[in-house]
Amino acid sequence: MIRLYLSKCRYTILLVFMATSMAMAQQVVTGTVTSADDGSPIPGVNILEKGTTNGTVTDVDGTFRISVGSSATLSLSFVGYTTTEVAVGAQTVVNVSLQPDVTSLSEVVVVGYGTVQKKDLTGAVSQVSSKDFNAGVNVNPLQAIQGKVAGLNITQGSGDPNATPTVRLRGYTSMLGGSDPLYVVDGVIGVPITSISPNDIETIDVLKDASAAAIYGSRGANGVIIITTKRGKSGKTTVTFNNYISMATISKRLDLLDADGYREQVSRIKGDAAFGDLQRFPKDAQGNGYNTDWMKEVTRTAAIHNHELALMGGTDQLSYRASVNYIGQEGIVKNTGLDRVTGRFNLDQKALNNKLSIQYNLSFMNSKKQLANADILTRATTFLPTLPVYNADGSFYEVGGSFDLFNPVAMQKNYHNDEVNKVFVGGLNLKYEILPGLTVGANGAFKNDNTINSQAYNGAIKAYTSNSGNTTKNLYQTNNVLLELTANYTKNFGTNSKFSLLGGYSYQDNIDDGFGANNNNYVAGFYDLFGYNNLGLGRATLLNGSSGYVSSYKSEWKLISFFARGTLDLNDRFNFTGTVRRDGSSKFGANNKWGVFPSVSGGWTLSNEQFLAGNSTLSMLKLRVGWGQTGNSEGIFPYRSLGLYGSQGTYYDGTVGDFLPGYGPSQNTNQNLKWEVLEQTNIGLDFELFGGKVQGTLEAYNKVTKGMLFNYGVGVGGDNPDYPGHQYVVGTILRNAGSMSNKGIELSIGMSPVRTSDFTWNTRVVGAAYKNTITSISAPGVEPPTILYNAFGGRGLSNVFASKLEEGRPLGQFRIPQFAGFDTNGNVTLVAADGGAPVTDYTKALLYYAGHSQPNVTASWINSFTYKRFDLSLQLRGVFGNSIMNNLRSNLAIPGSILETNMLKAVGDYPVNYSTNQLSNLWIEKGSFVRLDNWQIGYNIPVGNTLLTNARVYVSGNNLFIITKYKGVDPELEVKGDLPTGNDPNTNTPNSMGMDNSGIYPKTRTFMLGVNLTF
Amino acid sequence: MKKNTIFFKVGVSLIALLAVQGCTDLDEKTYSTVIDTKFGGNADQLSALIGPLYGGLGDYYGTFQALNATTDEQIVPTRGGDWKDGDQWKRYEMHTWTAALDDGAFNGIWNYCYSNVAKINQQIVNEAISSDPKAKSELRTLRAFYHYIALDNFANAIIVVEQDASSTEGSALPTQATPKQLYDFVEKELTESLPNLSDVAGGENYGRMTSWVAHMILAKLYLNHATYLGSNDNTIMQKAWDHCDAIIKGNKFALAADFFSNFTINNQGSAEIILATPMDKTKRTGFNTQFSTLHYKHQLTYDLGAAPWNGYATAAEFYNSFDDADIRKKGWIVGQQYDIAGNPLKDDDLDMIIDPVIPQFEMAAGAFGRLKGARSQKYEIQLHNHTSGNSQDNDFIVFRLADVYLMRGEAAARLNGNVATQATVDDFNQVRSLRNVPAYTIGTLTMDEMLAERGREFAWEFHRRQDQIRFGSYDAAYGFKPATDAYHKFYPIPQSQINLNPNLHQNTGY
Repeated sequence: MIRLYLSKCRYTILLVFMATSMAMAQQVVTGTVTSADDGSPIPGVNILEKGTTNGTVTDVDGTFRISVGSSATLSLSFVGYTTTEVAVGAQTVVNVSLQPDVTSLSEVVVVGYGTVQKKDLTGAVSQVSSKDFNAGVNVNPLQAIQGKVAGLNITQGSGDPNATPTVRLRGYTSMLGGSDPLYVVDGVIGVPITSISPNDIETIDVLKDASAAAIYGSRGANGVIIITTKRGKSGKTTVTFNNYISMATISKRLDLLDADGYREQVSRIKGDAAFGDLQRFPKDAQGNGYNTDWMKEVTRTAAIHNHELALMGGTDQLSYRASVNYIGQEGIVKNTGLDRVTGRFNLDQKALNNKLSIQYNLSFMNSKKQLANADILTRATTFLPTLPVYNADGSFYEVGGSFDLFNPVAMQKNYHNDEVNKVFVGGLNLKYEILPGLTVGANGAFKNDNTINSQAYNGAIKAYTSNSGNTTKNLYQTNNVLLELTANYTKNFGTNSKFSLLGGYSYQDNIDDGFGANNNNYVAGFYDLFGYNNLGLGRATLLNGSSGYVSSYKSEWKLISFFARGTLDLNDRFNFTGTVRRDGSSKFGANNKWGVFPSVSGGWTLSNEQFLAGNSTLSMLKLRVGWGQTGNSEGIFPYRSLGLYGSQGTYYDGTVGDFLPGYGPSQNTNQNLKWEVLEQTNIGLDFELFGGKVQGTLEAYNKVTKGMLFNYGVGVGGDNPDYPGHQYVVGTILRNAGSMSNKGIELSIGMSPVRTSDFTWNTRVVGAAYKNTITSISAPGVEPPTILYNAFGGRGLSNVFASKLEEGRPLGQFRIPQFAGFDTNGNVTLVAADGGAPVTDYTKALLYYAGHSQPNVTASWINSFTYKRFDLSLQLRGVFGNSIMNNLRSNLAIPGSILETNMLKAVGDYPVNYSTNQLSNLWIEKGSFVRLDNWQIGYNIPVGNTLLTNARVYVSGNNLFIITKYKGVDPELEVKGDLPTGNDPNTNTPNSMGMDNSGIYPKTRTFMLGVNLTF
Repeated sequence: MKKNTIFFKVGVSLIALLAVQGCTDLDEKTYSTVIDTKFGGNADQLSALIGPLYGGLGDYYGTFQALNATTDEQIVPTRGGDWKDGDQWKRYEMHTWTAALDDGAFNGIWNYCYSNVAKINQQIVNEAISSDPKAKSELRTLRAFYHYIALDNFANAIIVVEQDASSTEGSALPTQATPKQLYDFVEKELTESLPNLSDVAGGENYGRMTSWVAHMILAKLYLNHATYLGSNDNTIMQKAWDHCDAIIKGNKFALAADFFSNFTINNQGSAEIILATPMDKTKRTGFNTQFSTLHYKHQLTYDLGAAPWNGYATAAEFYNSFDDADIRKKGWIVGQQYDIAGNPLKDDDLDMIIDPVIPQFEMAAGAFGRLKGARSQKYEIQLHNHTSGNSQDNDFIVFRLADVYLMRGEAAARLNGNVATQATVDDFNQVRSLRNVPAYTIGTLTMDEMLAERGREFAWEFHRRQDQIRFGSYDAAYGFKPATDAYHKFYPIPQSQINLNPNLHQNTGY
């Protein structure tokens, strides 16, 4: 059931030479062609009698029948497998096992508005096909390819089933512009990646460099991830039924004090008098204290189950694939989870003598999410172990009047944060061959992404009294229309030479709209009766006037593009590609509506030159060089170039004696606002050694972001050069002024050390190293702004930051004082800036560069083994060279605050009188780790001649172990680092990077059992 | 192949059509946002633009609450880790702030002034306003108020007025004004505006710029002129007296018999208020002094939605400057605290007794340190307040009549060689007679006593820094602070602004 790649080879089938039998001694040969990796039959294999035009193709069962001359040799070829020759001799039955082709050069990769054979590729493109997807629970496609592509760093910072991983391709390119790649699914640009079931995917192609991504113009700067879904094939109807169930547990927990340990520390630090506080040290009816493990109270062992049904079949003229996938994933934190159904229907039709081909793609996703409340996890960490969950009367135990102590179980059982997300994508793709080699195409798509979020909090619970039991309901939706027209001309000439030209036009219109309402202050008990379903019954709208109870919005953007690509392939030695895209976006400023994004690249296959031909060690060597400019505009929200009036709170109007909503200037005009330009040079080397036993790719790149977008501070009242004749009316402006640099190398090497008929071992190492530098964050003529970020949080830690945006430093650079020791009063002393005696005053301390949160190196080691019908795969993934500020640990190791929060057992290591947290390198730790990301052991059950064509069972899992020196729960933290986007035009503090804070959803370890059946 | 040609032609035409239509269609269509050029055209929209210019005034409390800790009436000690906050409160207390470390606080004042000024300038050129003398004078007065604040805090700030509509090339960045230029600007703007301003107090003018507010700003400007201009000039001091006198003679305001009625939740009815920023717990949030000052456990005393922050307190010396009989002393919370049902409260294992004496600025963690320092309840603390912003309904007073009496009396004394006259004593006693404290005589009302009396009357009303500077005590030793350099009387120009505008130079001393 893994072989679903027939569409790629249809042209091969069509090219089969019809047999012109020779009038010699003929013999009939029959046989079956199977795949060496799983023993399954391969339909559509091209079989040719060598030296003749006599040939045939295997049928759906992989069987063939051919009459051949005496002493004939059969040549069997199929895309994805090594071409194999078999001498027939006197045999009448020839069964052939085809080896999967590890030499990937025959693969076809998707490059945006077309495909190219890998051997002709000039840009940096990596392909991951579904058979190489990660084992284990993959809710979204990103998890399925984590660690597979060099330079594509996918970070899953938590075990939250509803969290989307952070994706950074070749580093951080932007702050405000966004650093997320562009997702293109079956030609539809901008499909939510989480709406796709990994099971529906055939291949994922990652366009890494500018020469590859420039065809996507102003949106290609962060790379492009192109997803091609599985399609139907002619032949017998097959039914695939895949299922797994899985159990998830917390992989690691904080080493918190239990009640006895807590009492012991309180006694050490505060003395036994503290036990007189019966709020913190209550006793049950028998006079015994309590011992509650709050993290255990709010978590569970979670069950995950996934079921997929896919039907596939059709004729040469009309084929289809339809699938339905369901995943039910409980979160390990109670009251969280995901229930998702995805459906996909892909139809392929050919008409007008096969000159017209039509693809219909319909997909639908409905996901119901129970979202996590980070505050509950924070409180589960800090609430004292000496407290019971409930009072004797069944009400929740709370510590009245305490600032930081809230019962997490009460919080968990008294809130709802539910979200329903529906994504519908419909696409129609037409291609018509007007003349041989000349094809015109039209691609149209419609996308609707609709989210309803509903929340309710029970105002009777201490944690929720501060918002009087708020309830909210919000709807957000996006409607997106895409229309693209293309024309493509390809001509072969000379020997193995061809050129092709592509021209196209693209139009995309996107409308976002939504509305929301909220209310609070319900009659006690209404929470249980209505939750968020009857907002009108809240009393707040009548008691406490505010303009915040209702809201609505709508915005639109348009993108209009012209693009062209020319390729020239000469003698299998030289390849050239040039692309250009001209993008016009409504989001850009009046003076910069249109941008041009060019790229050129070339490849030279050295191994096809005389001096390397026939070299048995170096069987293939190709050099690629590319340069291009791409744009980054995804982070620009509509209307950001315009001077806007926005809501300005309220004002008192004496004539009505009440407050009224006010409006006022909310944004400065920037008529010059435009995309960020990302200029990238890439040098790549593809090589194969020992006839393809070892193959690899080495890439080096230099990326420079120019005109980096940032909300620059401006002096209000000064003249606005981006809007001549007008003053700045608010204190920031979105402007293209900064720059950033990323340089890196990537290596990917695969080999098959063992390859026998019974046992195979394939192994691959993928690694990347890069260096990120902010080169400029200041507008011309002014000093760089002081942007402090990575807030070091905790009580009494307002305005304490571990990082500052600095030119010449990477994003996520820590700049902090150096810990010297504790003085006799328990104060932290720091190395002094003036070189004198250590100081307690933070402002007199020496600040030094204490590592950064971006890893220097990321690497994975991927292994797969087969033994007869068994297979084993496992992937180790490592991240190296980053530092983490363990802010959480710093707040849970302060003896002086022990009555305010539970502490780590490590609190015993600190002086009794230490009571004031201080930012220093005491809390900096190395974040390097190696994790056994996923593993799988499978068995292909012999099916004989039953209805089944394939049956497989497997066990697998995620996150079996992690090797790290990091003392926190898990060193893999969310590392966004960009500016919080949304519609706030005034913020310029990046999201924190490499800060381990409280409230992080624990990572999970999963074990699963799966069954795949194909009929 | 004819069919193909047609198909091709259609395709090409379609591309061309869409392209042509597309090229001209990149203007942004707005739905829920408002473009500046499309707003302010009709009277309703105009009034919806002028009103919000006052909305910004409501940030007055939020802008000055923290920096009031630089005076002798407010202290924010470090209680264990609580209120450490990178030692910013210590720097305020010790007058060791710097432009770089405390940029947030100073830039906050700067932006409070000039972002409001920029918004005023944007509207003041609107035909409907520029042609209406009253509306224009009102906005000029409001703009002068912000410039007066900038002068008072930074001395060498900028003057920003509306752009000359005939000029299309701007002068790029504002130039730095001298204190004298700012002083002259404020004086000129207010003097010119005064005749056109409404003299109706309260009602439709509640919270807005009236002639009385203009008098008050002028009186403050003149009374403090020596601070800004460097030397005393009795002709200017006389003008301070004159403008105070004009307000009192105008007879639109009256001293409240009940001192605390000025600070109740519904204090907008007080006849003493000359200018207040109307606030509301949900409609106009931001007044949350109770959260800054109250102890965590006071949540139970007042039935609050969340536990307060246990920060702002007053120094023991300041608390002790109140006579026990002085009704204003009830503005401070000390002693045993109770929950809303009247049961005594504990903090950890200690009885919850608020002690006005703060033994040291940095105290160890625990209940002992948490209970130190008298808290303020001058502004009535709202019971059962569970609204999410922790804000209260009290309007925050910027100017009130008692200040006018004390200023007029002080001006008379300053005109008399810094010795109280009978007029001085009479003015002070007008207020004092309502506070249950003995009347002053010429002998008892020294200049120091005037400052002390102003402190008692206006505690936490944000006049203290200006008063201390005028009376020369801001750079003296008080609280935990030794005597400091006089340059601290003005804050540094915010580092952010210097970074943005090369025309700006740092104030002397920083």
